[in-house]
Amino acid sequence: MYSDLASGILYIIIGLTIIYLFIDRRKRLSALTPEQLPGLDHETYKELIQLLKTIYERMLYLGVSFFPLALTSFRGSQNEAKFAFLLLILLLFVSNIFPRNKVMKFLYANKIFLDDLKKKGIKL
Amino acid sequence: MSKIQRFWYSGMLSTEDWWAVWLGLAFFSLGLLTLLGIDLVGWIAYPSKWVFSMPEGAISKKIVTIDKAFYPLGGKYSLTARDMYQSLGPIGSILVTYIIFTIATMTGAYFQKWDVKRYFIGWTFIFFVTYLVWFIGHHAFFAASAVDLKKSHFPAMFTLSLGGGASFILALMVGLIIGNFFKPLARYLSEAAKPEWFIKTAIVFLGVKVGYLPIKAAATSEKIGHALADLTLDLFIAGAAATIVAYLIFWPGVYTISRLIFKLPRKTAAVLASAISICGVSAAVATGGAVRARPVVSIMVSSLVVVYAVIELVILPGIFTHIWPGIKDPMVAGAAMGMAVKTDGADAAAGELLDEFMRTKMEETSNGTVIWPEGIITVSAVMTKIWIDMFIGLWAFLLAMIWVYKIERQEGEKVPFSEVWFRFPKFVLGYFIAWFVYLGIFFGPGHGGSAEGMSVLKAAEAGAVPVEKGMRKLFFMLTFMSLGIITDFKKLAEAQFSKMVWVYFIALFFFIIPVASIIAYLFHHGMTLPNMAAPGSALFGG
Repeated sequence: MYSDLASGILYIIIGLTIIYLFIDRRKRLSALTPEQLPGLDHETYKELIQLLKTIYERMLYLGVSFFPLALTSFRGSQNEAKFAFLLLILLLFVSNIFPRNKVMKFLYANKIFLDDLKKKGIKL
Repeated sequence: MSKIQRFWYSGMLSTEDWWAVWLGLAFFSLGLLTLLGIDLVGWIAYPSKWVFSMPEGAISKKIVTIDKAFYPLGGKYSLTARDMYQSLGPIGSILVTYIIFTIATMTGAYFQKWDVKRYFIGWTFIFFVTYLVWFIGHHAFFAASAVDLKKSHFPAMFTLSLGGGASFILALMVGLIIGNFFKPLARYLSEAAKPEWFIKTAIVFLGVKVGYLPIKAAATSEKIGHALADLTLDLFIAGAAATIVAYLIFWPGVYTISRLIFKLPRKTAAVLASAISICGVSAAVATGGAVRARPVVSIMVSSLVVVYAVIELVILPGIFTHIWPGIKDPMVAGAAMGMAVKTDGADAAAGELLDEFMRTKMEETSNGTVIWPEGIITVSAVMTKIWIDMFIGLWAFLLAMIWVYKIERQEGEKVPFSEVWFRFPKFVLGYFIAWFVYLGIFFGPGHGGSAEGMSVLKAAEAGAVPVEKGMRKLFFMLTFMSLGIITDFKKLAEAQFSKMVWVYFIALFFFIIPVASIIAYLFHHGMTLPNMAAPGSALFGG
């Protein structure tokens, strides 16, 4: 009973943390201007922003998925329900690897270093 | 489970599934011979958009005159036998196509122990009616878009702008007319009207298409070639993830609706849940066997699956193109289609329609400045479907275990793991072989689309195009026609179906389609398509 309550609270904290990270990163991305990445033309810049938005959105879905997981814990639901949400979280995590990999390849192709991006407030 | 003794190779010569693999891989292999300078596939007759006569000032570019309404693809793409194929002309290429596919499919019919004489007559009828419909559907009024008119210097005129989709819809309509108004003819033709076989073969050809996409794109730009190779692999992973989530939500949801709201018996609910939520006919039959439902339940459910799939096929491509998600998220639409339409045939066909609608709309909206590669939206629809198909075996195995060990516990009964292999959709093997071989050619001897691999890629293209374009679309057309022929709308009205009809209707339109759209959005949103009209740009999100 208490372990269910504790794990439920833990899941909510994790979910809230991920959502906070999403909000923070999206805010920083909105503040980014093409002038801060002078090596990129307009189309390439748009492409990078699109990829980063995708990554962040999938992160948001991941965060939100922790809430129903927490709910199953609070209600002491059967393991099958927990398994389903854990699997969903795992799959959302896996599905975010591809766009991340694309961004890395993109940065490499355009000779942009991750540290440079970090200095401008953009994190992966 | 079944008491019949089976080996891993059982059914290789006697099932539709395996014959889709043999047929698909046979033509795929013939296509590969172009790498050795031998072109044996360029005879396939393919339609162009046509008009009776050219208006003044117009040129034969995207739209041609009626005498050129069909052409052998080898006459355009072959590197070694272009003149020979050109000399066939439209009628000659249609006849060669008929002869070769008659021999190929009759061999399959013979080994599957069908009535070969009836098959031959039925096939001949279906083949020529299909070509006739293909011809009519490519009239400029149905198929030409504003961009086609502009490129051919046509004066502004009203067209339906349906692209190749017009032919598919016409084929389905003609098939439905035969199936519902000429029932004795439809019964006779049913020996040759095999939508599942045709579509599974078309899906093997689609494997060639998926592998060929980066090769085609590399001809425009090396960068686009890589972007497409990445995208297809991305779809592969996203499709798997979406499918697993869909399974976890769909099946329990539909089972609960059937049991709690409609009070259906447990076994019927299980068969219905599998059919509505997983993969239609195959899942219904597999689940029926696994839970030992009465055979009539599987048959009834299967016929419902076919009828509803046709309804979805007509409704969903338009909704996804014009209402939501539209051209902003074509991959989401494709994946949602894959999860919502419950037969392979209707799904791939709906994906193909969606592909045509979306590309035409994008081209028109952007005034021709954005052109998406043909077929990639179909791939997103088929990819989720293929994953769903692959899981049928596993799901049937799982249900069999639940029924044997939990619901109908029987002392000493065991479910062999080999059941997974027997339920596994074999045509998927053909699809993957075709895909990975062409992908291997792109990254191997094709040097990833760089200049030194271009001669190999050109040779590969000459063999791939007739298969992925001509044969694939022909088999899609045959699927639409056959699907129409075997669909009997009257079945919906029959009293004993009423409860199941309502479960199916409510589950499909108020549960499956909305949930499929959400799941597709979760895993496919943000995927972008390359713009073939702007080689410098690798991606364009719409």
